[in-house]
Amino acid sequence: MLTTSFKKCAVPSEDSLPFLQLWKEDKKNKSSWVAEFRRKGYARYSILGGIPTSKIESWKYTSLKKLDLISYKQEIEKGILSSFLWPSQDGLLTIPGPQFVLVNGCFAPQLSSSPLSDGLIVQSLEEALRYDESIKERLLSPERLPAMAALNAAWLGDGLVVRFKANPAENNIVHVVFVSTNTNEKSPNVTHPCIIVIVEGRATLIESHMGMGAALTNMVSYLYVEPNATLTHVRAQSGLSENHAICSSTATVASKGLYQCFVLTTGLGLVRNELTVTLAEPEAECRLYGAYTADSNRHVDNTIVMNHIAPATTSRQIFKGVLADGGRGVFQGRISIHPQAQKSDGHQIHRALLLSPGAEAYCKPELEISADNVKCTHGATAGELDEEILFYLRARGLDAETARALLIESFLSDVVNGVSFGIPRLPDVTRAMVSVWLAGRVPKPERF
Amino acid sequence: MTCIEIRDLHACIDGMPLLKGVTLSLAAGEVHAIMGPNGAGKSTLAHILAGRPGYEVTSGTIRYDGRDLLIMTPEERARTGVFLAFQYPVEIPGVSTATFLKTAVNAQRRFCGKTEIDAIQFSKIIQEKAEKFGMNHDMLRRSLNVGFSGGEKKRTEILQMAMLEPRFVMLDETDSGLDIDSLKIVASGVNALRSNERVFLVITHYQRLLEYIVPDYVHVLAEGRIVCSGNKELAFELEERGYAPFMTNETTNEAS
Repeated sequence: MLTTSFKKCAVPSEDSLPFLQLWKEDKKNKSSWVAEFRRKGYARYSILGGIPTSKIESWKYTSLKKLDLISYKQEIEKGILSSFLWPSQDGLLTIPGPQFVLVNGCFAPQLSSSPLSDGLIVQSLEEALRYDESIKERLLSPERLPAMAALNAAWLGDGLVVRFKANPAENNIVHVVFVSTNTNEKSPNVTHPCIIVIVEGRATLIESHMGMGAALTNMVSYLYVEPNATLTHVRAQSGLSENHAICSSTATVASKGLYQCFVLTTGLGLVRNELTVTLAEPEAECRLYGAYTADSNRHVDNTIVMNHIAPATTSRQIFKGVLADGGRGVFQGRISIHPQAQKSDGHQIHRALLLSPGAEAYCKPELEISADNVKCTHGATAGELDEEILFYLRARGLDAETARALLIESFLSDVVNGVSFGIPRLPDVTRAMVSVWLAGRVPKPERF
Repeated sequence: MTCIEIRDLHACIDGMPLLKGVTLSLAAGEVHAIMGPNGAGKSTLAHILAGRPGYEVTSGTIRYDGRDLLIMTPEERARTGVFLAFQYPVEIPGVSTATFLKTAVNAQRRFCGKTEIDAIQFSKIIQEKAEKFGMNHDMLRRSLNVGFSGGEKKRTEILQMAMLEPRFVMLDETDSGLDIDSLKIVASGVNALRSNERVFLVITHYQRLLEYIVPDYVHVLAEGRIVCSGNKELAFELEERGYAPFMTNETTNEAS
């Protein structure tokens, strides 16, 4: 175990982190790619001024101050938790498919399914870096990363590389589970996992986050959708409010590829989902769906950058947030259509439902259009529950709380019920997550 | 037996008086119609009876089977048998008509100390009733009132009434925006529910609905007061003469 100071983040020494094997081999070759990568990551993090503050435009509405990151420590112990009791309420784990578990950012094979099956290869990041030079190119150069992703590079620990081979007849499902533990009760734990996913056929990635004890997961993921491939991605965030997640994802979609993603946040304390999608080749497509709930001073931030680089690319974004009692929702959505991306079509919508006076919603749509033959639209609304409809429900015998819960479910329904991606049971599971959140809010829930 | 007893009811919204002394007594087994010009206070009366927030009752009483109706919440009224068929039924995306009705029926049953109906039993009952109102299975599975035509929305209201079997039914301009086929279906649904135990208050502009739902009594509500009461013949009279004579009386009375 070692301490990280977010401000004066010394480059980690070689014997205190995973990658020992890789490090030794690097030494033999008189080069240390890992050390160099980390050094660059740290340099970038320092240049950007360390922990992002509200002075940085993209962090204007999300403050990390309250987390007191300086007090966080990093726990990297491979192999702890040889057995692990899955929390039974996490419905996503009931969706069939192999599971791969990262404990404090390190791949835990003893908790995971077999890494090899038809059309699928799963490796720990260290293993992949050792045997496949090309993986290094899949990591974005630290010089180009934003602050939190640069910090992740500075602490490049373990992670996972998932490769779906071309096999269009089958839709491979892989479930990646992030577990944070905290053996040191005095200070919260921070981890910096890194995930690379390369899809050639049709594949589904399910990602869930769970924590035991106070922790921050500062995750970076690189998603590559190769020509004609489809990646379906579901991220479910439903942990305790002492757990926080900052997820920086980069998706690159090649010709006629499709990246579709559903992010559902009904738990955790502070959440920042930063996603940059690059529609790099003609007819690449992206569909993003998001639903989140925030109450009791929880904070949920979805920051999207949609880059239309190539002609005839399409993007859709629909995000819905329910905010109550000091809960804060942030949506920043940029659609950037580059000059050569003619005949592109980008659409974005964000709707917020504010349930009580202390709730806050911030929405910042940005359209940058540099081509003349394109369609690009956005919409944003924020409102309260309709009193007229509430009265109607009460006039049919529903008590006020049940009526409110029903209307909240109705508000989220086009995303939560509507997005199934053909995954068996997905709408049941996501609906259940919303119900659990509602049941925690409503004093006497009368479920049906 | 008197079911609803309204005495000298005065009510306003944002300080503006809407009802200026309504007195009306409805006994079990009767069908009453309230007619009157626009803005007379007909819908206001129905909404106050159903418990809609926002209205201030400044004086007067309403007794419902001997209880003080005005202190009951809207849901308490609904669960004890007060039913308002809305002029503009609301749309609720993502909640199917069947799911919504099951929630409502079970809320009422729990309140009355009865066991909840399970999904299979409920689905059987609702399909039987829906068929009578020309509603197919697909409509029950669709989101409540979303994409429904005017006629379909009103039929759904009547289906809800049939499922909840209320004691006191108010129809608030249920005939507005209704084609003749839907009107007949709605009327037959109401007539099927007429009984010695039940009271109906039918609010309408036009006499047409009353050809299908024949009332025992007709009242004219104008400028916040019942200005004239009679039997069903009064409706025909109104159709011929309009409301103007009553409004003149009202104004004259106020002046004196």
